[in-house]
Amino acid sequence: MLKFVAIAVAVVLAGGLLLQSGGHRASAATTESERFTNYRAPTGPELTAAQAQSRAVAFARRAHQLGALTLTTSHSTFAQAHVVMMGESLSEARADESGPAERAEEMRSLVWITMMTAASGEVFEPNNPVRRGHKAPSGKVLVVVADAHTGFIKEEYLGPTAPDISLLGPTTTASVPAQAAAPESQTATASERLNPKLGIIVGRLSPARVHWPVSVANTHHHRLATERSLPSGPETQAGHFSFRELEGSYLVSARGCSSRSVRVRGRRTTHVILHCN
Amino acid sequence: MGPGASNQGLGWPSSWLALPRGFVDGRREGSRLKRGSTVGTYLALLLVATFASSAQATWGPNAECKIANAWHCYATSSRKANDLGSILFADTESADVYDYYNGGLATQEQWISFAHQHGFIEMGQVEGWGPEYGCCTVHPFFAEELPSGAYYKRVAEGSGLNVYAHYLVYDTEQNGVWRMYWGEWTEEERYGGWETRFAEQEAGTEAGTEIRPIDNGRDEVARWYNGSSPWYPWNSAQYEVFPGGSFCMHHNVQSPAEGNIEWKVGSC
Repeated sequence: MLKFVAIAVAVVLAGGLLLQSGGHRASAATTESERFTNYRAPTGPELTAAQAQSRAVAFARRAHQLGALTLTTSHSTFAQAHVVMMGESLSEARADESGPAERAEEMRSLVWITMMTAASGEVFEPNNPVRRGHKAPSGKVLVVVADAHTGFIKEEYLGPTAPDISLLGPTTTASVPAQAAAPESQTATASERLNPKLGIIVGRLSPARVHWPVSVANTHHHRLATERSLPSGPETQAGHFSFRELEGSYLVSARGCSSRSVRVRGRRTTHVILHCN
Repeated sequence: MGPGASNQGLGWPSSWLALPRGFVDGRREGSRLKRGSTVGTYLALLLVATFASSAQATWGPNAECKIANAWHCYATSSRKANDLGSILFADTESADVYDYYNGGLATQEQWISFAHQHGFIEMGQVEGWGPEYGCCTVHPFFAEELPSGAYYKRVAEGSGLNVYAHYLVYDTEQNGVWRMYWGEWTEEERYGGWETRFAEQEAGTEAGTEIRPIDNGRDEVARWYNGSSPWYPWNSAQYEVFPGGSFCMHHNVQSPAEGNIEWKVGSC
């Protein structure tokens, strides 16, 4: 471990020297770099298991999961929760807890780990940073690791399979009923049905491009809307897109792809394929 | 509206470098107003510009920047690679994610991805992302999306504004375990099961918010070819704002090596 620490410090310092040689430093930066030298594990009263679960449920609701949830919660050190979540052995945790002093203090700090399973057929889709062009992560299992004192969420796992958090010790389980859907969706659906001139353009990019912007314009080339092509899903193939437009003629286009003129009829679906380079 | 006019008081230079070849100028791909529009249209736009607050609902060209994952907006540099290490010095100058409570986020980060495995590893710093993290506090984070689609993320406490924070990811043992370091400290995270060299690296900013955020920053990047080589600057870098007009991006004027950029929200 010490070998890697020494290598890391040397490598970072070397990188710093290189980057500084490219020009003078940013005037806004007040120090050469940031050091993580002040971590102190929180102290004082801990959250209860129920409080930890309540925070986890709030997290799940933000992850666009309004359905019923099954929760399992356990209490451990951060190092132990981390290795179980990553599918590693608990012996790895012991190594982390006895490493450099400041890191060890954080890895020995206490956490609540809560695993949530979505109802059948449903998934969690939290907002996460994603490399452009990559499919956003989603999964039927969501695990959050929160500081036992402050509730600060330190880690998240999202995926298809559940880690075995019973390895950490006693668990507390709970079930949460589905949250009522927002009434706005019903209003929007009714509004669309009332317009007899509204039709649908359904298309796909060939070959498929995901999250690729596709635009629809009127015959005067005024862009009316832009949607991004979809990844594959239960009802779509990769590269699909759709628009709702009133009856009339439109031009559908996407960067790097052919443009197509389409005719929309009320309550009808117009299909289009854009061939891309 | 002149360059930088939408960010008075935020410390950005009053004049900007000309966009080098390969940069996307938001003015070209952003607003599509044509000459010949009516006087009424201009008056309406003037009224909107006059009374709009800094926290505008829906933002980006054609309101294309949103909180949903497929609608995030980016200002990045990237390059094809065959390297063993990637380093990012990220300096967030000012940041405010108004809809942080609903999970809105802005990041300054680097990504690496591999030739034969889907997914990616990312690390950097984030503002927003939920009530636990607040609107404006800078938090280091580390994440990977596995080929299986599983996603791990870790958020740390303690970064700050106006400082170049160091983020390093490399596979020094060349065994597919990528070790991640932050702030000249020690190993913060490690992810295994990957290839031993990455095939692409990218760095810059990403915003996933419903309300136009404040996200001003700059970065410096470098690459590491093998265990005995020095750190090299990037070569053959590509630059992109996506969608055009969501960010104004330039070379980092204080350290203009290839791949180094600075940005602010909005068109130039």
